[in-house]
Parts: sequence; C-alpha cells; structure tokens
Amino acid sequence: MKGAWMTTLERIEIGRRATVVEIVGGAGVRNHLNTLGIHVGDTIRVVERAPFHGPVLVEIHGTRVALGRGVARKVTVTEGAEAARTGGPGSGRGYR
Amino acid sequence: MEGMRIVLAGQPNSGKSTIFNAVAGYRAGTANFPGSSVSYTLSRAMVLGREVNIVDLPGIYSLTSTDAAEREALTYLLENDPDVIVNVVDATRLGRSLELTLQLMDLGKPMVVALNMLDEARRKGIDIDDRALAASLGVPVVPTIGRRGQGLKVLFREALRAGLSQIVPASPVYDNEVERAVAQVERKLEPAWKAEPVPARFFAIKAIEGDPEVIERLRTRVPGIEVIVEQAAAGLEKAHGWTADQVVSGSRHAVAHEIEDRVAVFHRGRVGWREMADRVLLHPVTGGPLMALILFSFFYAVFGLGKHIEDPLVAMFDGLGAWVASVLPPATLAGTVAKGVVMGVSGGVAIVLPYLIPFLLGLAILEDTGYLPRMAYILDNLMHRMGLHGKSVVPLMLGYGCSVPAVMATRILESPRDRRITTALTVLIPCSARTTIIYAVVGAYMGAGWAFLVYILNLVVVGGLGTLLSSRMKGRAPGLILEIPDLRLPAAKTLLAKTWLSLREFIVIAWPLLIGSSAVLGVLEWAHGSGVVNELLSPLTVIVLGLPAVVGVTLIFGILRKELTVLMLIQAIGTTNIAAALSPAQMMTFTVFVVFYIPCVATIAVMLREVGWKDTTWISAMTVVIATVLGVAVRFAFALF
Repeated sequence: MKGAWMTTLERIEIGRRATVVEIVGGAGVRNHLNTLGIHVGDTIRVVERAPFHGPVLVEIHGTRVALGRGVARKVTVTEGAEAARTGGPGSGRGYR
Repeated sequence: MEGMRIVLAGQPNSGKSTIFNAVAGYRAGTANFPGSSVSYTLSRAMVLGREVNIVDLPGIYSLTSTDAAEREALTYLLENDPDVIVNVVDATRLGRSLELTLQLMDLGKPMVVALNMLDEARRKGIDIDDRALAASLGVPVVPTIGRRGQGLKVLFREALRAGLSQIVPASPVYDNEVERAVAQVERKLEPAWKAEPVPARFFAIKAIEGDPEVIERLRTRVPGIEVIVEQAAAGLEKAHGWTADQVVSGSRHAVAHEIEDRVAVFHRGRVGWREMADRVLLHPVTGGPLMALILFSFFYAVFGLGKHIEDPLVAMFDGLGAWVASVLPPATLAGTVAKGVVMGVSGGVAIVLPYLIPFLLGLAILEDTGYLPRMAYILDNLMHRMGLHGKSVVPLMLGYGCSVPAVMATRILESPRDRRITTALTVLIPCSARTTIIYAVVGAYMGAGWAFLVYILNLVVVGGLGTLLSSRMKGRAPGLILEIPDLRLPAAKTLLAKTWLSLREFIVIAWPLLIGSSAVLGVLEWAHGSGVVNELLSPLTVIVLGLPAVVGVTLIFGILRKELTVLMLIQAIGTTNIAAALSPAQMMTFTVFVVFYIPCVATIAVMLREVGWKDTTWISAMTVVIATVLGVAVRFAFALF
C-alpha cells in the first residue's frame, strides 16, 4: 500500500473506486464505519457527491452509506480497486 | 417450557419488526430507515399452539455500543437471558449481517437465523445456498420473506425446537493471534464465571475490543483484569500493527466475508427503477428541488383532501348542535353538558379526522419508501450550518407526525449534545395535532397560503434556534454516517396498519379525553368557572396577545392534547364557525401561539425519560417564551399591514 497514490475518500470522483488504507480519528468513528462494513482493505465506490460540501454517497458490499464530508476526510484511500489488497486487518484472504 | 422467550435480533432495516408484526399483530412501528425501532417491543403470541413471549429488539449493527439503541439491545441481551435468539439477516447484505451473527453466536444461546428479504436479494442478482450457510455457521437457517409472511411458520417452529433442545451454537473461530489473546483473558475470567448465563469468551472479546462498559463490568468481578486485557490487546497490536479493536473487527469481517463467498453467488443485478429514481432524487441539481416539490405537494394534498371532507361534515354537525340546543336549552346543566358532548364528538369527526387521516397516510408513505434518510442526505450540509448533521432530520420529520416517537427517535444520534438540541427543536415542529389546528383555523378560514406561511415561520424559528443552541453547546458529533436503504414500494397493508396504529391512539385516548373535557368545560361554563380561568389568563391572552378572553381556558386544555385548544375554542364560542368570533389577525396569533407553546403532557413525559428534568424544564419554558414573542409579533404585524 505504500507506493500507491494516497488521498481521502472526500476527493474521489463520482463513479470511481477506492480502497481504504486507514481510518483516522477516534475509535468512535472507526467503530461506526466498521459496523457498517467499511474496514481497511475494503473497496468503496463513490456513487454521488452532494453539492456545497454536502455528504458523499458511497457503495460498499452492496450497501449504500452517506458519509458527511468531515467523516469522508478521515478515510484515507488509494484510487482503484485492488491496490491495497494485502495486509490490512479487513483484507480478508490473508487471514486464517 | 412455559412462556419461552424468543428474541428477534438483527441489523437495522433487516425486517425484524415486520416479522414481529406478522406474528404479534401490528404493534412495532416499521419503516424503511435504519433505527425505526429505537426501543424493544414485547408481545405474547401463539406459535404452533404454544404461548411464547416475543421481543423485538432495536436494530443493531454490532454488539459494541455506538448509540443509545445499541446499548439498550446489548443490555437486554446480557441481562434478560433469552431462551432463543432469532437472528434476522438481510440477504442483500449477507457479509455485513453475518458480522453481527458471529457476535450473537458468542452469547452462548440457542439460535436460529432467518435469511430474510430473499426476494430483494434475488432481484439484486444474489443467490444464497441456505443449507451451505447453515453448515458453515452450525446454526439452523430458515429462508424467509417477512413482508409476505413466507417462511415464518418454519422459522418459529425451528425457534421453538432450538429453545426446547437448548443446543448452543459453537463459537466462531477467528485468526490465531486473536484466539490466543482471547484465551489469555478468558483464562483469568473463568474461575469467577461458573454460573453466568453469558460465556466468559464473549466478555473477553468485547474487552479486547476496548468496550468501556464491558471492561467496567469485568473489573468489578475480577479485580486487575484490565491489566491482562491491556497485555492481550498490546500483543495483538504488536503482531498486526493495527489497534486491537481493528484487528478483532477485521478478523470478524474476514470470517464473515469468507462465509459469504462460500455460500453466495453474485450475478449482475438489473438496474431497476430504484436505481434510476435515486439518480434523480439524490442528484446534486435535481435532488433539492424535488424534495421541496415532494413536501409541497404533500402539504397541498393533505389540505385539499381534508377541506373536501371537512366542509360537509361541519355543516352537518352544526345542524345537530342547533337541534340539541332546541331540545335541551344550553342554560340548563343537562343542556350545557349535552352541548359539550356534541361539540366533542363533532370536533373529532368533523375537524380532526379529515386532516389527520390523509396526513398520517402521507407520512407513512414517506417513511416506508425510504425517503427520510434521503432527506437526511440532502439536508446534511444545511444542518451542518446549524451545527448539527443530517441524521437530525429523521427525528425532526417524525415530529410532524407526533412529538413522542420523534423525541424517542433522537436516540439514533450519537452525541448527547446533538440529542439535546434535536429534542428541543423536535417539540417545536407542529405535530399532527397542531397541523389539524393550522389547517382547521388558518387554512380553512384564511386560505392555504397562510397555513403554509405558518410552516415556513416555524422552520425559520427552528433553524434560528438550532443555530443559537449549537453555538452555545460543545461536543459536536464528527458528522453524518447513515445507511441509505434501497427505495421500496410501500405495501398498502402496512400503510393502512400503520395509519390505523396512530389513528387508534387518537380514537382510544384523545377522543374520550376530548369529549370528557368538552363536558367538563360545559359544566365549568354553567358554573361560571371558566370565567375565572379566563380572567386569570387575560393579562396574557387579552392584553399581550390581543385575543378574546374565552381562549384562556382552551390553552389550559391544550396542554393535555393540542387538538383540545381548537375544539374547546369551538365550544367556548358556541359554533364551529371560528370566523364568527376571531378576526384573521386573531386566528393567526392564536394558531402561532398554540403551535409553539408548551409541549403536551405526553411529550413532557417522554422528554423527562429521554433527556431528564433539567432539559425538559428549560425546553418547556423556552417554548412559552418563543410562543409569546411570536404571538405578539404576529399581532403587531397584522396591525401594521
């Protein structure tokens, strides 16, 4: 996950995919995102972005979740689907 | 086993309440947004000839408490020792739903999985092998379509069987390091954990995940346990380079998705009308205007429909009133009581119901289609300007129905500060009772435009007050995190059941109160008692607000229920023709005052429970101040223009 281009979920264009690298911020936000199925290593698609710094609508494992811009800024991602598919706790296949 | 207790647990919007209602009769409110049930509902039901207790828990994403609803569900599960857990799983979100399933399995209770919403999963191109799922989990799995009642008989038969046999599912196995850390904590707990209903393993996992409430619980039982927990967590962090909570939840995520991969096949789903509708409804350009259009047409439809029904009914009841007055002269005690009863009955039938029914139906449609969370999405940045975020829109919108469930719905907000502010704003939103007053007084006599103006004024005040309160209170929530469920065509049966549930509230509780109060007012008038009340209130009503003194007593009754103000007013002036007693300026002043002043008794009661007496007191006092200031403002605005 190093070399790839890191940005935040807030900056991803509509229709593009991104892979979660890190969720910054307190355990509260992280837990909340985790329970909605957003973990490090997951691929997220940005479906819509509300105007005037409104929330970002994302799709994750077939579910749609609205994230306020402040929250989206806390999600560090790399553009593209499989870029960071190794190592993170949620990356799945590396486990068990 | 007598009175077996079956608990329905599942993620928000997985269809638990729908299944509950199918078995228990329509009791739990259902809707298409996460968090529509914020507290649990209990019911007795007959299942295969046995009487059982069924509990519908609020929807929870996990057993870690992030909001009030999750805390309530977790506490219930830990303290009430259910006989069987029926885990309702949304088949369209299998992987994520299984993360909760895995946690529930650790509770060491007999369990059955309801694989629900299979029809929607099929539509999305997801095929799930329920036998393979049952084999993977080691728990019976029953395919269901709750909305059509399919599979529910089998589901509850399996639940009874599981409850009778008391076969407990095996705990899921996570990755090696997590298991080692859990074992480390579990070993320390074991000696003190012999007779506990919930296994030590469950608490060990939650402690490592850093749940402060669980750690506190453990500390009282096993002193010094927090050191062991810290060691175990530090070990995990060292091995993975992530915080312990992320390692555990990541491992669970991995196990859940591995099972999903094994049992589910994904085909390409169709881009249906839902997707197309969302593209327009949530579009940056069309989303906002469409929302305004939807709400505006809602308002006009309710008004138009209500007015159509109201007019002939009012004429009819006025005739009845005149006939009763000719038989029993109002000057006698019997006459005045009879008049009161007729007014009470006619007020309910002719004035309240014509607006209440279309209004409740419309609100039910908004709730069941899933439009409310979309409003939260669209209004998020506006709410940010007020210092809140989009989720507050849900309780505020529910406030248009009734303040009581709206205040309870503030539980979906994560921060206590946001809950307090939203509660204060929610009670100012005109509920269906106040809507009736707006429509029946201002709307009916001055026109729909004026009624609309009341709503706009209300929104301006709510917005201003929200901004003011937010700037004063610290502890802002990090921002909006809200699941947006798929749009859904509401089922006519559910809409009617839901409308009926609210309507029954009115008929069973409000109406008798209304008729009784009318009779009491009749006696008061006959004994000249209402004159004393009116006299006492006249400094406010007559001098400050410029209203006739007769409204005094109506405002007192209005605290019981807001509808009473207008009905008492009708009785006090002796005709349903309000224009005969109030000028347009007075109607507007009266309506604005009634919309804002003191929450009704039921709302005060629920506020006391949800936010405590301090907040309840200042919020109630504040509403009276706001109502008076606005009343005076309206009075002088009319005098000037």
